[in-house]
Amino acid sequence: MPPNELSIDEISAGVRQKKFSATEVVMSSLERIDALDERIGAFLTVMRDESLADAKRVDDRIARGEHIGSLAGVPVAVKDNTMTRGVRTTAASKILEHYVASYDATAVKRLRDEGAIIVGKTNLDEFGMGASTENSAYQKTKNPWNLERVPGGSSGGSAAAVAARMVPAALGSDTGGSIRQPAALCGVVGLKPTYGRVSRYGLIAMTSSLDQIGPLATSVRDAAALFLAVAGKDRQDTTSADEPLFPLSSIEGSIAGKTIGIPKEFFVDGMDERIRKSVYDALDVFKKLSCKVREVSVPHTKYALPAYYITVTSEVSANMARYDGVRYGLSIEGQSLDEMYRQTREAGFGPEVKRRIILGAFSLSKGHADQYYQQAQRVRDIIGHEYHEVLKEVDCLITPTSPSVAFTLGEKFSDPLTMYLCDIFTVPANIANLPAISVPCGQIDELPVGLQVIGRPFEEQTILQMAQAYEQATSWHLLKPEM
Amino acid sequence: MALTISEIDHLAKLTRISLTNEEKELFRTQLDSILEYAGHIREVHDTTAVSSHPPKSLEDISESDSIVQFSDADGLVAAVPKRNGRSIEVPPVKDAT
Repeated sequence: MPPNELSIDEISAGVRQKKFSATEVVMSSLERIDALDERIGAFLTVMRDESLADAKRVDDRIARGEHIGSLAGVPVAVKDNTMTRGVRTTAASKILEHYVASYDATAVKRLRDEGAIIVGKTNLDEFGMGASTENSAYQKTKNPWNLERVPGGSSGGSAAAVAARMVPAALGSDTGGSIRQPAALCGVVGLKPTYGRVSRYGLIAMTSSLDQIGPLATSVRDAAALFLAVAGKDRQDTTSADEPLFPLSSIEGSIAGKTIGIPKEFFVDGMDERIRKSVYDALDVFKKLSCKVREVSVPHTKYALPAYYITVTSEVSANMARYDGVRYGLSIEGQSLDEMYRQTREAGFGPEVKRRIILGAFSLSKGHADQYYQQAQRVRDIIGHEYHEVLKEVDCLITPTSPSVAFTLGEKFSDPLTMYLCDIFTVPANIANLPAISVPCGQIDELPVGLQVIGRPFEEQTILQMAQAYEQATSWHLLKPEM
Repeated sequence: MALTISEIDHLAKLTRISLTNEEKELFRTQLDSILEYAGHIREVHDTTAVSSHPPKSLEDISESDSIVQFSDADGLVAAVPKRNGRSIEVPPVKDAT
């Protein structure tokens, strides 16, 4: 097996013990990218020279006997809405086509501090606005399981890169499901941490009250390793939380006696019966692991998605205001400042970004703000309260991650509302500020199905334990797309 | 809630986005269906739970003002599309009259 397809533990140990070098690991990752990415389109920028130089630095440090962190020599891909110093960072938007980041995001810096090697920047829906990665201004990423299907989104490039084993792990960002849904559609593991767990410093803002960086990997343990490397308080992000973390080894072990809640609102008439069956089969596995399973209700769940889209578009309209052609990014000259703004934004933003800016401005406008933006915040509070109450009675909630398996490219592209509905099972965890993980739990027509485990705030340890126990008891995560 | 073309025009002007007539018509139709769906939140009247789950810790997170040298100030300046030395050049704020 090429070294880049080993687990994070195996790569890190192998590099430290000099079984192979960090350079060899990165070379094997770059070779895999060269061989496959023309067909998949996961990467917007491959950091060939930078990654080989970084790998050599790791090898040199090991040769000198210096301490190297837990991710020694591990190739990692980073979603292109996350700053990487000296490297083009586009957020998949034409407005940032030539933008070069002048600093590393805290999450990127922490990966580097642990010895990880950033090998490239992955494709996404423009600024994270989408569920299929088709809204990228540059390319459409294909699902490695079926090249006529979407990888999900918005972290579709990261999910596809991990699924195709181009990298063992990647960073994504999740505002309403953008790590978990593509992880589910590509058959990999994706973790959305609690809001505040991972610093947003250097993450290009889409919806500041919801955006959260998290890992995608081929196993729960690898996702946990990446999470633990990037998590923790950061002075550069005052919304980051100073909550205790836990050792990686603590995700192993028995989950006997844990109580799982099945929210009935996620299992409605008309849902894909094959997905229902995959989730129910997974519940049988948990029962065999001596977990208790009980139905619960979170009645306002149906309002999560509408409240989410009002919140998102409102914050988008504010966050996108910074792209004015003055300080960075695309700039189209005009006779006046206002003309320059309009022409720059007209040329630089794609249709979904414009749609959300317009809708957000409407939701925040005088006469409508109380019915839309303010009401969405009230609904958010109510939903948060309901989930927090339910999670006092159970240790976690289990649901499907996505209402469908990977859909065909173009199938939902022209109908934004249909695309928004892809997030229906993932958005509640964001709205309620809860951590959630997606793990592979089945296949339908040779396409992966994802299982979502939702936990209490800052209790990522519990959902990782549940996911790890499930993964150890099943073999879905071992399936790989034939490339 | 149905948006009119003139409302779309007004919102585009507010947000400094130029839209073609085709885009305005397309957005009007799409935003209508999105607003119809999103408008369901107005059915929610239960406000008893509002703010009943505050963040775990509420504390003053403001910090004292102190000037810190950014690690790559030249990189920030280099990102400016149009500049004169270290100054940013912009067109006139008001139309020439």
